[in-house]
Amino acid sequence: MNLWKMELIHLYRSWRGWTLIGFYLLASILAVVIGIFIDRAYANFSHARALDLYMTISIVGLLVFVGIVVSSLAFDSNKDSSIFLRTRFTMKQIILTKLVIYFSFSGILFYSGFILTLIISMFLFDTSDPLNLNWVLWGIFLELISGFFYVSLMLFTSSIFRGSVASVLLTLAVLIGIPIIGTTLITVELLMRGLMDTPPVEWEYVSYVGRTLLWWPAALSDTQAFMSVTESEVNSGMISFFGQVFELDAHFRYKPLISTLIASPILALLAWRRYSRREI
Amino acid sequence: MMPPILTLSGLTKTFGNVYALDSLDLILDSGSIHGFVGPNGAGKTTMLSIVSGLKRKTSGDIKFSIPQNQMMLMPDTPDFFPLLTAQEVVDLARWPFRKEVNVDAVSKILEEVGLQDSADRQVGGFSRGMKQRLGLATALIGKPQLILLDEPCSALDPIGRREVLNTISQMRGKSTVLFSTHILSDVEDVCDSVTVVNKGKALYGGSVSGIRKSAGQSFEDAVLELLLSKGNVE
Repeated sequence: MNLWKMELIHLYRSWRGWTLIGFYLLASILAVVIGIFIDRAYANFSHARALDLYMTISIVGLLVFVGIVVSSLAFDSNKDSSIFLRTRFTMKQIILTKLVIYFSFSGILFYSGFILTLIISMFLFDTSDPLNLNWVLWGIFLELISGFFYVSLMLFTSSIFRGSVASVLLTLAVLIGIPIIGTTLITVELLMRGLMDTPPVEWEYVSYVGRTLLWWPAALSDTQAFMSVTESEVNSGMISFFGQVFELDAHFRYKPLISTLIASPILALLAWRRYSRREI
Repeated sequence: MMPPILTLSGLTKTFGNVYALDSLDLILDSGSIHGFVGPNGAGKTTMLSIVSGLKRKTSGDIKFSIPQNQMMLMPDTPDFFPLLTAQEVVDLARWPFRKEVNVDAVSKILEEVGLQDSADRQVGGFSRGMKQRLGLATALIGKPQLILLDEPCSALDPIGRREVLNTISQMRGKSTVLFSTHILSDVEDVCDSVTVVNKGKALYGGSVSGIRKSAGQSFEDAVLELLLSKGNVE
């Protein structure tokens, strides 16, 4: 028995691991089922669009994952079981084990669901416009980098409070609250400036709040759209993602990429400072 | 003569204006069993937390004559991950000592603390007394040179208490034990020396017999007299 096995037992002898598997499997199934209905209604539903559906529906699994990880990182909420761990293992060992297990697990689930959706949709839907492998790989790479921000953010928010409930609420407030507040402020700004007819895809160029929010590291997740780029989109130089059409540019979201690379280590260091100085 | 295994000099811990420990001195001889007694809020748990590294001291010195990984703490209310079995918990506690301690020792220690029949049960279903026995097993599995026990008998029935005290007695000469307790008769039964503490200050530190003012005085009366006269216990 070691820390790795302990974390895996924590996932699989409880509802946590199985619920996560269920959510990602459900996302894959739902993407295919919805795709079938759309295909019946409109025909020629592309397998790439099924992947878009999967990536959107899997956000629910991501939120559940955030709750599970943050409550696990707030292990000091139970003082006595925390004493058991901290008198035998270093804080670095405990935290690193949790991060590696949970984020590897989440990555495996997400990409397994992605591949499952891809395989099934290649059989069921239109494949005349195939995926472009280079762009898919570029999207996966950027998605992995955006994962660093989520790791360090969750580490930081877990280090603020000892209690798991407070930590989870803070994390969700940051992850969900900032985009909601940002969108609201953008809307208000465009209303005030008489620019409400601006298409949403152009808000980030027109709105001052939008331009500022582009630096929010989580915006890098928008590059998920690259994971379903097709050959026709490469030829046209435009990508369609849920009704939004924008230019296919490899430097898309370079601002949140920069802020991710800067903010992630800072958040991780701040979190480590708090964890390492915490008394029980 | 072996050096003391632990020496505390002027150990102080404050929480704001409150002195949880106030210039506490303690010398722990190697191989001895030392009792640490005092009323609620005297600073017993705080002292054990600081010595085990879970809290930082405000001032004072702590000297060990052993590596710090040879020290183990059992808290007053041990708790564990509820989904692990007792066997798995003790095996996890063994991990830092896995090179020195064989996996066979896990079953043996569970038998010593009376949990052999519950080895495969998940800890989430354990009573407080069972968790306390399990806590003792996890503290002893690595055969540490210094064992810190915070009220090891508090949740145990009389038979369980006697078994734990016997286990502690058997450690004399093999390990050094520092245990805090409210139960004065336990200290008298098993300890070689005792420190009486109140409001963070040590009122007495020395042999168990040396605390008595007169030949006929019981240990309990001696401690109470000390606490009431010096310690201002209400």
